[in-house]
Amino acid sequence: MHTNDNPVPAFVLDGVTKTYPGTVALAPVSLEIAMGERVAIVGPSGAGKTTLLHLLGGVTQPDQGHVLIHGQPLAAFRYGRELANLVGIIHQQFDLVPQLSVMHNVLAGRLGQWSLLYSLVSLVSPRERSLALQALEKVGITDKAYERTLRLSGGEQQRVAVARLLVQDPRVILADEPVASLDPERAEDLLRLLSNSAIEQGKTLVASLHVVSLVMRHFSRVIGLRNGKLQFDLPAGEVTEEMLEHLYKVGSIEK
Amino acid sequence: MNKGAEITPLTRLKRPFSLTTFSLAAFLALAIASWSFIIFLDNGDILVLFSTDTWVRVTDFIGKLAGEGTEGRIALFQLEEWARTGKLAYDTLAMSILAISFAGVGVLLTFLPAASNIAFGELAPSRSPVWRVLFFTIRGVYMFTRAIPDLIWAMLIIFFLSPGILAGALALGLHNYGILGKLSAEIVEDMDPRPARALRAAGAGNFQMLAYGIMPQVLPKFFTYLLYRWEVVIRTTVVVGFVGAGGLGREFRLALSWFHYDEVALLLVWYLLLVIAVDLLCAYLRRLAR
Amino acid sequence: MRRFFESKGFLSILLLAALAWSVSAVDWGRPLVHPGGVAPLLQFLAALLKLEVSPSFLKMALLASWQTTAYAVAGITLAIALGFPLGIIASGVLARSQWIRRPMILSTRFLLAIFRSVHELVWALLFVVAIGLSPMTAILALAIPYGGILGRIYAEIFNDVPAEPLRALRASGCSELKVFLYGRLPMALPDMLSYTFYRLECAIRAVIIMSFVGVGGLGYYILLSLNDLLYGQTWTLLLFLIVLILVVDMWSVTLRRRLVS
Repeated sequence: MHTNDNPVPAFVLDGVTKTYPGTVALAPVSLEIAMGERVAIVGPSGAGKTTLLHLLGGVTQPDQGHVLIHGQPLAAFRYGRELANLVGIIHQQFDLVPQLSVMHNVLAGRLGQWSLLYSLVSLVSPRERSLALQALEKVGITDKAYERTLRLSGGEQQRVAVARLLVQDPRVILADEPVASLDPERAEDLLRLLSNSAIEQGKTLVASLHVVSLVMRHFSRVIGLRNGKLQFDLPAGEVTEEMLEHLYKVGSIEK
Repeated sequence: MNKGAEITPLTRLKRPFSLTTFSLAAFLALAIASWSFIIFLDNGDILVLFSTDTWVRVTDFIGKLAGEGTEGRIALFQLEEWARTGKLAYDTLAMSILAISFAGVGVLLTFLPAASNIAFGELAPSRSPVWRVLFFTIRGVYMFTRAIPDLIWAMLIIFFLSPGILAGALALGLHNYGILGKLSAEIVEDMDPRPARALRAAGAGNFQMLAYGIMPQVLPKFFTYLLYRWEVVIRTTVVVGFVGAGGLGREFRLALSWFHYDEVALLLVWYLLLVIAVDLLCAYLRRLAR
Repeated sequence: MRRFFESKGFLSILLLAALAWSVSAVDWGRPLVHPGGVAPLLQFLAALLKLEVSPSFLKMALLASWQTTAYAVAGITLAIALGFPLGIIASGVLARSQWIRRPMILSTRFLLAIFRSVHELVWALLFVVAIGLSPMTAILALAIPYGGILGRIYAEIFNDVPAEPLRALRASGCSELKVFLYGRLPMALPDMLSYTFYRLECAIRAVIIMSFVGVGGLGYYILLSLNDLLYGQTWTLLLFLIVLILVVDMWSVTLRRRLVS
């Protein structure tokens, strides 16, 4: 059905809503994201950014409408590793197993591909170490490779999570506030890493962010959400300061 | 900048001494030593579980519990037996409540000076050395009463108190006084000091700080621990009865020694009923305390 | 009306009523103090000054302490062997199908509850009848109720583990079993170890009590010395008991504090 110049889009959302008891997290949203795009999702807290990412990644199912991941509904993926090859998610925090070493947490990205026996062996003596070390080098913390993860700072742990993602090597990267616990320099480094991976390897990148300058520098498309509704969906160059002010000010919850 | 190639296995060994790893290793060593001792030196026969002789005895025993070989009707079917043993269950329940009351009241009277933040920490009423002495004395008493198992307390108390509910309640009360005391002192030490601190800064006296800043936080947890100990105590009252303290336990021992296994079965039923009843009651009371 | 039954006031009334009832249940008519009891008590207390410290007796006391420890450790290892698998089943973390899950959890929890309900000494008495007097009597009588307790606590720990790392592992393509090995188990281990060490301390006390059934160890010799009226020996043995329990207690508390931080 799809020809070469009309490739399968990474994501198709059609009339998707998601409700949690008491709130409507996402009002009907329809959008398409093509493979290789770098999309930023912006909006105030509670706007539904995390919900949207979870729907894209197949972590939750919509209450109405449907989601197609690379042309297929979630149910079509019979094995977890099929989906994991396609989509990888990183969250703001708390994604790593604190008691394991950094090495083990990074290699967890490969667990979907390993047999049970191999996984068990790796728990005792990590396999494919060089792969993990390469990823750790890219994020700049090889010296902590054998430390227990809980000893690392928030920023370091976030970089470990990115390293794990690199090892998992999915075709699509979904990131929920990936640089929230990093200082500006590191945040810039990390986003450059993610964005370069996208450009060089043709990966798709969808990230929710707060810092506007980072958005403008690393993403080609910006989606604005407020109260679960799509406010705008434009190429990065066409988004004005006014639009962003409007997005964040009106109706934002005062902390 | 550290490159990946420079991470040798040696860098991993530079971990400081870890109590956890040592404890695990020590436990493993103890386990091996214990089992070796038991099997080779102490006549421990682990295959005893699998010998047919054992299973014959077990099934025989279960049969006797179910009433085989008893003359006349078995106890489970006799109403008078239910009534008689029911009175014993009543006594056992009373013993458990008395015991936990002794422990509870005793702890409430002594646990505050046993908390380090009250004895000489920031919440101390005064800097007098009396508090230091009190702290160590009370903690010492807790330790002593806790370390000696309830049954040994019972054996000692039966010496000078005639066998009965009171003796059992006292023994259990003493042992649980130590356990509950330590737990309660720890509640006070682990609590949030800010409300009490704020009250003191606002000019409240010691008693007011206690009543408004400390007790509201501490009492609910204390009550939870009290209920948890009651659940343990009801199971132990039977055991204490063995030594003569009365109730179901004493009767249990007598029935066993006379080989009245059908009565043993009836007593076991009452025992399970009591345990289940107390567990359910505690669940309800815990909800009340929230 | 319903609010009254759920108020703290009602709770206080209940507690006072319970206390009053229990006090009334005591047979205050009978002489409380054993008529001939005061003299032996004084003798017993006086014997503290006449501790039995002969080398042969001390050696025996040390051996008895080791025996008690060995039985407790052996019992705990069996309890872990019993409680760990049952705990996994009772927590339902590996069950995929909803149909199997609920009955599996309920039946396992019920089984664990039965093990737990009966005091170890009662199990000991039953085991004496079944297999006679042997170290295995104490070990098995300890392993069953403690296995039940450990199983239940392990199940709760498995269920209380933080969800986000597990979600991330699943998103990496892991099966539930791998999620368990790489996520749940490492995160559950500190609490599991902590509680198991606490149980070890309780186990030592329990073994001492089981001496009443005739199993060897410190408790057995304490009983003997009481029966023979050799109170000097009793005190020595009690001191060994207190030291043993305090050592394990301190080790356990320090370890648990380290694990929680």
